Amino acid sequence: MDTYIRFNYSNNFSFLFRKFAGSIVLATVILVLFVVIFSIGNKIISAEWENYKKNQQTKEILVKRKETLSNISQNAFDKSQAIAIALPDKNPILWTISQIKIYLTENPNTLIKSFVVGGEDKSLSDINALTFTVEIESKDISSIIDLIDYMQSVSPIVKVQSLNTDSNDLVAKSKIVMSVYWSAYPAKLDNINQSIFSLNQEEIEVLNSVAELKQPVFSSLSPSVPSIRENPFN
Amino acid sequence: MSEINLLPEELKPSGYISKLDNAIKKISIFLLALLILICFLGGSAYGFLFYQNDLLNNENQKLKSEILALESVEQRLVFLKDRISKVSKVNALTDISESKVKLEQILEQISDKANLNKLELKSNEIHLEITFDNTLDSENFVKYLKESGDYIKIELENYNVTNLGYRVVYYLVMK
Repeated sequence: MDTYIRFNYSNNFSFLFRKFAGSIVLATVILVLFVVIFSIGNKIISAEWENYKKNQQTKEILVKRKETLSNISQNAFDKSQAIAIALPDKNPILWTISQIKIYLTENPNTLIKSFVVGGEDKSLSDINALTFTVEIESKDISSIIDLIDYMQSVSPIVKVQSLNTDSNDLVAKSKIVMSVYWSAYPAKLDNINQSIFSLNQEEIEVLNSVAELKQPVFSSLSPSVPSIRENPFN
Repeated sequence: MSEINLLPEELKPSGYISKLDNAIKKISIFLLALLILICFLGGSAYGFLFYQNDLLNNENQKLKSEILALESVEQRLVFLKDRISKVSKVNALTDISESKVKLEQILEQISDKANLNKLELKSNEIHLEITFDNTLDSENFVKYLKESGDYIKIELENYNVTNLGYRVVYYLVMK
């Protein structure tokens, strides 16, 4: 039996293409797969790596935060009350008046002639201030300086803005302008993932200086005990 | 078994085409191997990172619960830090403290030589009205002020001779 094989001698290129088609398609598929898998895989692994770095960073912050909170000195906390009075959350003018009264009781030669409360000062954005003026009569100027020294050593914190004195041989009349300060307490804690730092030396010094200020005297009245009313119309 | 080539000799692929075909096949195999290797390494890396992240998340959750147990300590620390920073701000405000120190030095200087009649003290300024018994004391006082080096401005605002002595008004601005 004769076998006839027909070849298209005229289309050499088509023949060669068919010869390479398998190899080229395989190479292209592998290349496309390579590119797709590489880019997707890279994206997924990069995201996981970023997540890992973030978690690692969070862990470091949390460990440090825990250490800070565990190792904080109890001594600093003992002074919380002192600093809360030195700069309270409400207007402390009554405490300041109480402190002036204590001074006057100890120094009977100094008399208050008038006490005028001025306006609020908003020069500090997060701290409120109230100015007040005290007119005082004393024997001499040194008594006034004593009073100023005293006011700088008491709690709540008082700043003496100005002093005017007019004195003669008998009496020194003075006008002292002072300011008291207060500020709202912090309302919320920082984010748990944020760093927290213990008190540094400078802060401890401020705390110690505030703790040394003379505290106002708080008198507590005990409630009256109910008694039997013998005359119900009284 | 011998290979049967039915192609006529003139259509047999030339040498370089055969080489190209082989090269494409080799590159394909290489890429496939590389792809499998990358898939294996990538998968391993992802698995390792996933496991590590899981561990870290657990540790972080544990640390967070431990920190939450210390919340009262944190509240007090935040409170202290807030108060201290605000007290520092208030302490930094100007007042007459420095002027008062200078006034005390002046009073010490004139204690037995003159009388201080009027005084005005501000954060950086001092107004004084002093009555001296004689002019020499007033001159010595100005000399003292100049030599102290504490003032950038020493002004003699008024000078009166009264039956009580020599009344002088000074205006001093501190450095």
